[in-house]
Amino acid sequence: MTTTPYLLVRLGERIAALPAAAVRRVVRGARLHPLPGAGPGLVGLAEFAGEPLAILDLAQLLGLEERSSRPAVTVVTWLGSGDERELVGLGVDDAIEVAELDASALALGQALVGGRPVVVVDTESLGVEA
Amino acid sequence: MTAGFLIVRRAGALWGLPAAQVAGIERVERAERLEGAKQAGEDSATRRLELRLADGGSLAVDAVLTLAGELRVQPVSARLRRFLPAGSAGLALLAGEPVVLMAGKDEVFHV
Repeated sequence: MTTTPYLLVRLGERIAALPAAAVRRVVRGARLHPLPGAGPGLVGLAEFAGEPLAILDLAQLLGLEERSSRPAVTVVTWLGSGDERELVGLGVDDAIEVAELDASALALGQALVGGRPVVVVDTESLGVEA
Repeated sequence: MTAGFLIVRRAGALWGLPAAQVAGIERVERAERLEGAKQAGEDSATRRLELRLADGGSLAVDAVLTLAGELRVQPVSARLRRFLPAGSAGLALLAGEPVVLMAGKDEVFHV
């Protein structure tokens, strides 16, 4: 059985899994700068490693319930691939652990971890308008 | 003005406007009678800054911070464009604070 490491994050009552290979850092309490006029899904901007970083709300990107508070944790993640790969921050409620997920379940976009359903995030297409 | 970006604060965020689009900066005073001031028999004057734009328009801002000649600009990708205010052309940092660089003045000020 082939497995792939994923970072499990909490989004309200839901759990999502980000490919660990795409995650650069988990930051708690990042200094966020809200941006008036920004579209829904953008939590704000921040500085990361000397570069500006857009922080997106992962729950909104996944079409999950709207958040009532600012996300506590930012997962700095590579989205896209090749020349279009870019670093963004994904706002989540918490980062839980790294888990090995079965590759056969990933294609379905859902997996079970400890009996709980987990939304598997495709970081190559996340945030791209359908 | 010269090349570079005029960095302003507006609505709590930093914005960079192409300096070539800015013809001048003016401090504007407007007398406003506030409810509390009315009771005290006083008018309250509000002060704000307006940028005079090269095309004849004007733009109210909270503060003009600096003229940044050299910024390391991160272009806005197609993925992020829909999340940022219309007209956002790039992102940069100024003293560790993110700046949204606008392509033109028309888009800045619908925020």
